[in-house]
Amino acid sequence: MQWTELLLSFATSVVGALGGLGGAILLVPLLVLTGVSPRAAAPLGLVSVAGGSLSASALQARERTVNHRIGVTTELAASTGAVIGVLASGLVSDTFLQRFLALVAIAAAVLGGRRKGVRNLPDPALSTDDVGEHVGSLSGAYVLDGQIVPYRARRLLAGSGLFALSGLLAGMAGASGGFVKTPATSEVMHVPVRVAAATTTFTIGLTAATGLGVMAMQGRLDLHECAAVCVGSVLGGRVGALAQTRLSPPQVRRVLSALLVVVGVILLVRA
Amino acid sequence: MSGPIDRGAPGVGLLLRVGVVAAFVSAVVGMVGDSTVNHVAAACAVGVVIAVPLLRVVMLAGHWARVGDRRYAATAAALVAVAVCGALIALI
Repeated sequence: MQWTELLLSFATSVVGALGGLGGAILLVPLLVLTGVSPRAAAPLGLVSVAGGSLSASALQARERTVNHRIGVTTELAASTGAVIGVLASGLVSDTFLQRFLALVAIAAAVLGGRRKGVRNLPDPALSTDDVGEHVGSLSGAYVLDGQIVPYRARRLLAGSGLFALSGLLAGMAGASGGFVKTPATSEVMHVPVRVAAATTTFTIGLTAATGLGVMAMQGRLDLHECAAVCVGSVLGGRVGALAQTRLSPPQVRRVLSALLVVVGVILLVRA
Repeated sequence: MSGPIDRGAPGVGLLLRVGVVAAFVSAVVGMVGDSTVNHVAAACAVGVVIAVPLLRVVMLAGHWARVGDRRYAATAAALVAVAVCGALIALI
């Protein structure tokens, strides 16, 4: 039994689903510290992201917290950036990329942590029938403490630009861009942090699945370890998504900011 | 400005619930032993976490096309195409 992989993937998937980060950015360095080689840890990180995302998404889709149109639109920019990043990898040193990503994570933490209050306020005129996303636009409504909160994504161009940049950097550095996507959706596009985290959880699952498919075809997967990580991440993703529904947006933002600082420090240390 | 509420693509909720259960059960079976059955179960778990997110976007594209939301249906189709192309490029 691979108890270390199972427990670590559970813990990192809880925090990953809570903040919409994925968790691989925390799991991979932890696995390396426990003696797993970086080459073997990378696919396990992707399994944890994909498993945690699948588990969290089942709950978040039922509660209609995920805005699929925002997710698909921004992920198109990120995926395109990632493909270009993979092709252009080698043009910039890994150390520079890791440091740059660390600064982005810490800047996003400061940006989200400094903001007080809630941007999107409940609308008493709305009912539970209005919860969900709107056809033909990047807007919708979600439930917060029994009240219905409408929202609309703003600054799509700037948000998509950041997603493309995060994809480009992720493709070049081989890192997940989840820690850029949630703050970009929340702080730049003004989507409520809970919707942003749930939507990012959906999109990073797609990215991880694609990467995992490539690694599976390359024969890089240790199926026994993958199974252990999958068990931990499915349980962790569920717990993280449940915890997120019990926290207020400022609390989620503070947790996210704290996690981003941790991610930034990890990246700086690895660089 | 906002269109009508989208109740969600039919079948996506079921796909996710079945996917979670299938991934979890097969992963548990896959991690408890080292026989052929355990290996096949682990491979199934990995296969499920790879296939479900891609299937979800395909189902969203189909649903959005049916409700007349052509712009986002095309975006979802483009996303699947980029994901497949990206995987092929990475393999090459």
